[in-house]
Amino acid sequence: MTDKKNNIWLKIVAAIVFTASAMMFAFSMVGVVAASEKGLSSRDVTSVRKEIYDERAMSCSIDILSDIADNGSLDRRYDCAPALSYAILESDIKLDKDDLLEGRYDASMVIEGSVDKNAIAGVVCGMEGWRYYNYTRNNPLLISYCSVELPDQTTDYDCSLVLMSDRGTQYYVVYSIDYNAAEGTVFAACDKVARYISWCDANGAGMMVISGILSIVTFVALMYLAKNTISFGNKIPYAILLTLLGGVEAACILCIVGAFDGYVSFNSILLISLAAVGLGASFFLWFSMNTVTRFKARAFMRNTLLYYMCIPARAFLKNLNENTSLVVKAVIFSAVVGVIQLLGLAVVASEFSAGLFLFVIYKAIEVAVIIWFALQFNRVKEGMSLVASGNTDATIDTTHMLPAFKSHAHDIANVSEGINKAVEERMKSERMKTELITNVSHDIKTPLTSIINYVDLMEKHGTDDPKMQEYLEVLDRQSERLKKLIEDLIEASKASSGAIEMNIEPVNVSVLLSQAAGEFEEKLKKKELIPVVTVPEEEQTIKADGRYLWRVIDNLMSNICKYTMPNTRVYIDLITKGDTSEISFKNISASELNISAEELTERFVRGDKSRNTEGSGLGLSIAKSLTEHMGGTMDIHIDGDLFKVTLTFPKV
Amino acid sequence: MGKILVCDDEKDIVSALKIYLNSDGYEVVCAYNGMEACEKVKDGDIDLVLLDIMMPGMDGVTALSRIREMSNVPVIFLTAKGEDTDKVLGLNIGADDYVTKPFNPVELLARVRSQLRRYKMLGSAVSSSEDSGIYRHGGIELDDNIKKATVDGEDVNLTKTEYEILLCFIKNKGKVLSPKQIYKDVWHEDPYGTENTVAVHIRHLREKIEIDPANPRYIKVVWGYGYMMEE
Repeated sequence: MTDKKNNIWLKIVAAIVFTASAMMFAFSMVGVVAASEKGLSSRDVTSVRKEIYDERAMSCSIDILSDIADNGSLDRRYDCAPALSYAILESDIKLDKDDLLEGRYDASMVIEGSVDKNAIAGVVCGMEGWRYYNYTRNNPLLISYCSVELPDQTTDYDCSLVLMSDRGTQYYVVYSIDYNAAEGTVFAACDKVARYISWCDANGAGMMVISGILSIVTFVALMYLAKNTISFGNKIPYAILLTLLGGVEAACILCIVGAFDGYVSFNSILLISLAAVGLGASFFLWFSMNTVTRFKARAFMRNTLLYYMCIPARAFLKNLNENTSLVVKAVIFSAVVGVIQLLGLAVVASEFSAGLFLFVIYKAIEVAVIIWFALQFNRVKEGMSLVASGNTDATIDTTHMLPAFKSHAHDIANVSEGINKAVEERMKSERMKTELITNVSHDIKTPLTSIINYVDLMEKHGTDDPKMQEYLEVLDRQSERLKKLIEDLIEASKASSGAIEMNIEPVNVSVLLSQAAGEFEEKLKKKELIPVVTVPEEEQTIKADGRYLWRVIDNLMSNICKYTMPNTRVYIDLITKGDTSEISFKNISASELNISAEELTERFVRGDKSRNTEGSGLGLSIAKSLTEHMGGTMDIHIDGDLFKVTLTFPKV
Repeated sequence: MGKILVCDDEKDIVSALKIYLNSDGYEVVCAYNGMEACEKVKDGDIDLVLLDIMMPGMDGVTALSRIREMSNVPVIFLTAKGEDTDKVLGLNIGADDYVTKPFNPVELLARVRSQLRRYKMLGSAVSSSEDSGIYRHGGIELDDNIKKATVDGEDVNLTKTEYEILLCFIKNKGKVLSPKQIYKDVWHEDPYGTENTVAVHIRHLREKIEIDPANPRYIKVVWGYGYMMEE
């Protein structure tokens, strides 16, 4: 808050300093320019004063001549004695300058006034009808200067006399100056002007430098301090602001010019001029700060008349864009293109070479537009195919896209986001399910431990009753089965939810199969099954996790031991197919397989449907989940009683 | 024979264990939470602890770390959590063995026996030297002079091939041996489609020296590579 306040005070002070130095600069500059223009540089005050008096006297004389030219007679105004005394002479002939200056003029020529012949300070010459002459030639300045004749100057004299010689009557104003009687006369301001010019001549350059630097510094500082937020003043359309600036500055200049032209006192001229310069400078300052603020707020374009005019047009176009279907847009587009083509055709018809040139340009634009369209379409397409391939994190870069493509790309992104969310939800619920199953299973295990232990203790304790013995066996068998079921349930839920960390590395299947065969040798023998293992001589290596691949094979082999018809052969083959290795297990089912291959891998489904045999019915489901989790596939094929499971894994 | 502390919040399990252990001739002290178990161990004279993990109040893991501060008595964890990571965690924090619920009483008793024997044997351990033809690993001891194997101090009856395989593993502790290597080492001839033989022999060997052949302590299966005896 205090910062802001300080800022405001700082700005006010800087603005005052700027305005003051601008005024000072103008004040000094006018004096310096005047001094150098009038050739008054580096002269003492007395001579400057004389020059100023001379000039004033001459301008009075010109006024007198103008009166004569305008009215044919002299009217009032110059009650200037005793400071300036003059005589008006009339002559049909050209007078010699020296004659006049030396007072050798004929008394009959004097039509008004009188001047001491020995004190003539200057002569101004004009002629009858010269105004008329000037107007027709449209060059009044030339004439008025030509007719001016100053005592110490010989310039232009000949020229004026040549011009005037064709004309009739010529008029001469001859004047003398009393340099000591200034107050209250036409020379009233001359002393001040002389002092001003002398002062400026001596100090003006320094003042200009100082005030110039000061004004530039304060200006830059103010530009820096200019706020960067838009307020009402910054919202004025810029064109209006510019017009305002032009108006104010022009008014200031007019004020100054008017003050100089009007016959007002030197003090008034000075005051009016300085006020005008101050006003102009401060207005310019405000304008500049306003402009800078617009740029700082990055709101320059937004507050121009052009922009305001464009708003309705843009709103209309936007409305059109949003509310018209792509088909309508396409029709409009083709119509516009058609008109352009028609115009081109007309050109071709009238002038072939120009038409050809236009055609080349048209084609270039057309190809560029088509490529642009294609590129955008491609981006959308690539994004779509990424999403379609399951990469739900895919995003499409929509910068510089046509609105139609953009909205399409956004829709695709939304779809993938939706899928992502659904997948995430699904994963989350699977994980929660796994957690629930695991926790519940752990809780079931505790009472089950007691059941198993006490059944075991009862068996150990022994009973003579054969019926009791039989019941105990059932209890023992069923509690063991419950134990197995719980363990499989935990594993199945983990395998299907992917909560298992796999360590995929090269695994030698040949070795693994021989290890598995060793593990199952006895169990197979017990069921009178004959394993026939066919492995290529070359050792096969696949990408898998050895431990979990063993779990898969363990499950499959356990199934084989459980469900195969005794006294048959079991075929285990390892085949290489291109980039993959296939392990197949074939056996003859003991009971009829009235079930589809798909159903078999669903949880809790068993081949016999009666659910009487051992096992949880989760073995195939676990095997399939684990295999897929390792990046392999498991296929089941049923052909009559022939049951075949094929595991496919990528080779290393 | 030994004093065993059984700690489980399930009273029925504790009394069942008590019956088993008593029938095997052990003296049994009961505790029903971690705090109690720690106090009983502090009182001294305990030879082995059977400790449940999930108990109200102080759980088994905390109790074990307390027990380890004052004693190196063998501790067997007894828990319903059967995942591999749980087992590794249990063994890492200082348990000597791990039995998952629901457990097989026979297996549990075998593990208790094994732990007790090793604990007691530590004091009278004969210096092991391969020069003298005696090889040791964990509870396994092979006397190569008379080709005799003992596990936890009990004689094990091995065939000549099984003995040779076991010796081969002990000599190559910490190395994964492929069936081919083992075959060459034991049979002294190149294998030709006979890798299954090695697998069968190893399974037999495991059945003789392991308490639970499906979860071997000594001869581990590295699926797809071979077999290994961990150091």
